[in-house]
Amino acid sequence: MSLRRYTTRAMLQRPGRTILTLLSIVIGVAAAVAIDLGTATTRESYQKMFATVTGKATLEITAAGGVAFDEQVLDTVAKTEGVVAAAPVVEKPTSLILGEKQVRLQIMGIKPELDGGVRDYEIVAGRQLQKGDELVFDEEFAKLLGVQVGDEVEIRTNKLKKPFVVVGLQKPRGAEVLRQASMAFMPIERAQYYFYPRGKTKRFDKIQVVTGGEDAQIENVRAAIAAQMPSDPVMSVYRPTGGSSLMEHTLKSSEIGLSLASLFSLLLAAFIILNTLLMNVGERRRHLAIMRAIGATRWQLVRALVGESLLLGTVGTVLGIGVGLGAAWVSNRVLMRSLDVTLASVGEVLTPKPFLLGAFFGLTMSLLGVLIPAIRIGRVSPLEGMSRVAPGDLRNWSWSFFGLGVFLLIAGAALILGGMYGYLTVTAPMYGGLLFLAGIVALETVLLKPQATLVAALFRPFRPVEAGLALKQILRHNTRSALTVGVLFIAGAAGVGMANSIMDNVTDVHEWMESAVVGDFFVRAMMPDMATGTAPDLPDSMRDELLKVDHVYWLDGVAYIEAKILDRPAAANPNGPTPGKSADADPQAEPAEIKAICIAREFADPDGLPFDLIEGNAFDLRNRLAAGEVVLGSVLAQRLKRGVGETIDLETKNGVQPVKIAAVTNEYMVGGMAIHMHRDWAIKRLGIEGYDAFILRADEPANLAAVKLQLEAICQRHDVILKSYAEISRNVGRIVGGIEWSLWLLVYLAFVVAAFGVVNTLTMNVLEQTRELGLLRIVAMTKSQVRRTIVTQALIIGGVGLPPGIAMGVLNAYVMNLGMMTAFAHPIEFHIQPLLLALTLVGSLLIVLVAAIIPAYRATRIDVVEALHYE
Amino acid sequence: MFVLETRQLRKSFGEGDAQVEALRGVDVGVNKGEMLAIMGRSGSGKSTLLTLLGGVDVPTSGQVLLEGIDLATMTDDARTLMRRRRIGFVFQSFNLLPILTAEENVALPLELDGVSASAAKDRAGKMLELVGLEKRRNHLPGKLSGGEQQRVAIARALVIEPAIVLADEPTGNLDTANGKRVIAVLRELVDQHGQTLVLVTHDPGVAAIADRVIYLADGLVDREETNRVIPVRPRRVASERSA
Repeated sequence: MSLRRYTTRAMLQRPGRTILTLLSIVIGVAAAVAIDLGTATTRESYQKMFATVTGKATLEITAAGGVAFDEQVLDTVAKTEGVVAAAPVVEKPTSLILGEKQVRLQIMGIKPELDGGVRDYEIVAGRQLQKGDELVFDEEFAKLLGVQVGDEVEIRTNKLKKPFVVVGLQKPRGAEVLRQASMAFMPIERAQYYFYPRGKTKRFDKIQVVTGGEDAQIENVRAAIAAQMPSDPVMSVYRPTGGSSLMEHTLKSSEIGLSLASLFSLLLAAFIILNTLLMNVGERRRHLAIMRAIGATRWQLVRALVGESLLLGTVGTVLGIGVGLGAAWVSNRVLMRSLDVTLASVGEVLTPKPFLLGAFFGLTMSLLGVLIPAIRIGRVSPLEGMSRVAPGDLRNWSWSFFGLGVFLLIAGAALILGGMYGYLTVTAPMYGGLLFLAGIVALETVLLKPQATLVAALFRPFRPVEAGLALKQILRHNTRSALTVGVLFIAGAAGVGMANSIMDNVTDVHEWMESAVVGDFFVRAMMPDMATGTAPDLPDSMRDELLKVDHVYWLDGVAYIEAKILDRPAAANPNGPTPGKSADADPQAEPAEIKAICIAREFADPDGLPFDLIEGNAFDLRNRLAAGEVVLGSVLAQRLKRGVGETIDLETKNGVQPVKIAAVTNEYMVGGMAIHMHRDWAIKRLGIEGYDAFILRADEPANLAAVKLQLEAICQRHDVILKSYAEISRNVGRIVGGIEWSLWLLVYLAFVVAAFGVVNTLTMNVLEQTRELGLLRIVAMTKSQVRRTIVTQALIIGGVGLPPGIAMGVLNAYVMNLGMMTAFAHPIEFHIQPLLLALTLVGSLLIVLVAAIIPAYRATRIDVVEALHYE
Repeated sequence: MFVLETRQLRKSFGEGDAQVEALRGVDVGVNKGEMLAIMGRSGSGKSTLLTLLGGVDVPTSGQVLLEGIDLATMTDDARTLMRRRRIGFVFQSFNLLPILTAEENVALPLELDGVSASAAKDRAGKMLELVGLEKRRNHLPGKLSGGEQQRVAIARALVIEPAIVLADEPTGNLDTANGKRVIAVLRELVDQHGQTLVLVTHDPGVAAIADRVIYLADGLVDREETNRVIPVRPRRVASERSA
């Protein structure tokens, strides 16, 4: 087909433009693929643990407050009519020590003879557990660690590190295709011995039950079991549910940030594709007219252009998918490292979906990008097309764009406001922001003339001829110039918006750290698991040893335990609804169970409390905590729609109890889903045992070294981790920095891609002006003047696009900070960052100037004689 | 019967006070196997007349009959197909596609019409041979001289075996020697192959070798001169042409 040959050669003739179009598609597709895979890995990680633990079980039995319960409950359950199988479980978080490395691990104590009845798996190497200090690992997890059958590993227990032998590897089968998380299985008796306190070992954490039949029969069995359960502790018999909201909240802000960055990249890419394809049509106007003259129908030309665009779309999609896979892998590693979590690998969550999504984006963008150029091709008349003078834009498009722009602005504003006021989902403002930006760019086609004239006026006093010529060329192709300005506008708005918001978020984190992370030294076995909130216990004897350390001003013991809150409607709240807080709850709705992490502390610091309060009075907070009130993390408070003075329904070992809220605090741990409670009350309500961490403060800064020396000796003996405040601060900085850097990278990428767009436009302008520039050179315009004309074009385009874009970026940051309400349940305080704005304006203008270098050079290299004959 | 005929052809551009009447009722007929030259000063309407004859533009009123079919009443696509299959165009500025070789440029109208690439290439080769450029078939237009480019354009116009070839100032961009060479090729096409040809020119020397000359002035036919009478003879088919 001759037209395919023609379009292929035309693409190869303009490699820079072809590459730019491809690059735009690659960026868009990569963004779509990376974000899909990225969110899939994070969700997979915290879902799969619960899914595989649940296995075949149709019912689970636990004690209220998550406390352990007597073994004898198992006999009662097993004898209940309708129960096909029942198996006990002891679940404990701990760590596996492999040489120098410590790996977070969930120990599942099981009865092997019963376990097979509730979980579907096969032993693929070695054998099943029998008795003694032995472990069975998940096959994939073992492969990851490099552990084999017969290896000896050390597990941290209440009785320090203990060696265990790996006797087998198991693999889920059938419906349990999700791979097990970082789990190991041991005989339940050993788990009870190593993880329960002495004298209280005959207990289980959970019983999993398999019943026969459908929902109604399962419900009958559930009721029958529940009727036989003891009242102390209060037992729950329920259908197992998967998932944890903790990881979700923790990672939500990263997901939102990455989604936002990717969507901006998509918008940028779409505009660049549209602009380059429009330029392709513009440049080939004469060729297209010749083909029309010798007998090519409009439809043949449209098909050729669409074919070219689809070819670029296909190649760009394939490349973009590859880049997206790579980007997903990198962001996965960055998140794991930054947040100190174990996530599913990209390979584990790979399905056809990201590929289909990438293909959809790539091909859709290519087709959308070619829509307007294809319509323009259809209107090319042979006569007009073969004219020496390139016609300006089809003027009637400006008002179509204006109409489109107004529509997009209204739609975008509606989505933003709807999301902010809770009428729409949390992601609505993101899409609204994009539509808003796209609307402004569409309006630019009408607004370009006055804006460009104003900016050009700034240059006229210095270079009147160059400024005038530059302005004329810019306005000659309204649509092209407007789209180039639009690309710079979006880059400015997105870049400054994200950068400003990032800086405000970092400030917020640091402010939280200063208020909430108070202490000189922190002793722990491992950081709490972000998904379950649990952490390995410290040895029982440690507290007494630490109290004996010289020069310790105060010592605070901390325990983390999962807590469940019933999200009852406001009407059922015995204290009555608080105006504006819970008024919209449905009194008829069943209460939902919300999981949070209870952080139980002794609040030993006499000088203050470790909270970054949003609500509540710090003055009498200590007394209120001692009286049994709690401080909620901001996200949890928002989720429950509760505030200071109201109560929450906390599931305790004695049943559900109302607990009063003393204050609400900004909380970056466990995604803000935290309840801070005095330890004494946590023991009464939730039956906590032991400590997960100790926080100490030295009496004098001068004694820090002495205290550290003593602490190091104790920690080494117990093989636990000692961190100073400085180290913690560095760690938090690393976490924040990791996310920060990846977002900054995307910001810079946006400007670089926008710069390519400017290069493209200027190159096209120079090409079209070849004859005029030749004439001007003959009429005695020097090369410097020619160069200045091109550079002035670039500066006018930059001057029109960048300052409004940066101003919009400030507004974006303000709105984004407000949007953080959903993720953090408090708006992030907004600050105007003058240095950022100044650096962005100067930096981006420099990028625009750099973008003008090559076109300006080409303009000065025009052969004057040849230019006069240029067609 | 005329191969190509216009009846009261009018063409206006612009509106209101800015309206310009380029043609004000032109009646022209082109005989089969004839070389007709259209002359006139700048602004006389000769190029406008040519574009209307070729169906590139539509008249404001009047008829353009190609082999009895009125182009003015056709849809754009129908006129395009007519141009593709029955009308060959030669432009002053050659209008070859710079990224296609000479052979590919010549084959283009055939491929647009669905002829297979190999068959189109074969016929293109024969046309290039006819105009004496078989050895330059794989050259890009940028590597050809002006005269060579115009001969490639002529080959492109002929490859479809048109009912009529329309040439707009075919020697306008050529030096004297090349111009003569091109005119000689065109004359040969008419004399040896019975091709019907209409060419627009401002060059009296070019007009002198035409069979008939029509002079336009102010959008009307001013006068007509016959240089020689065309003998009626059968038209040679393509296979005879290329032999």
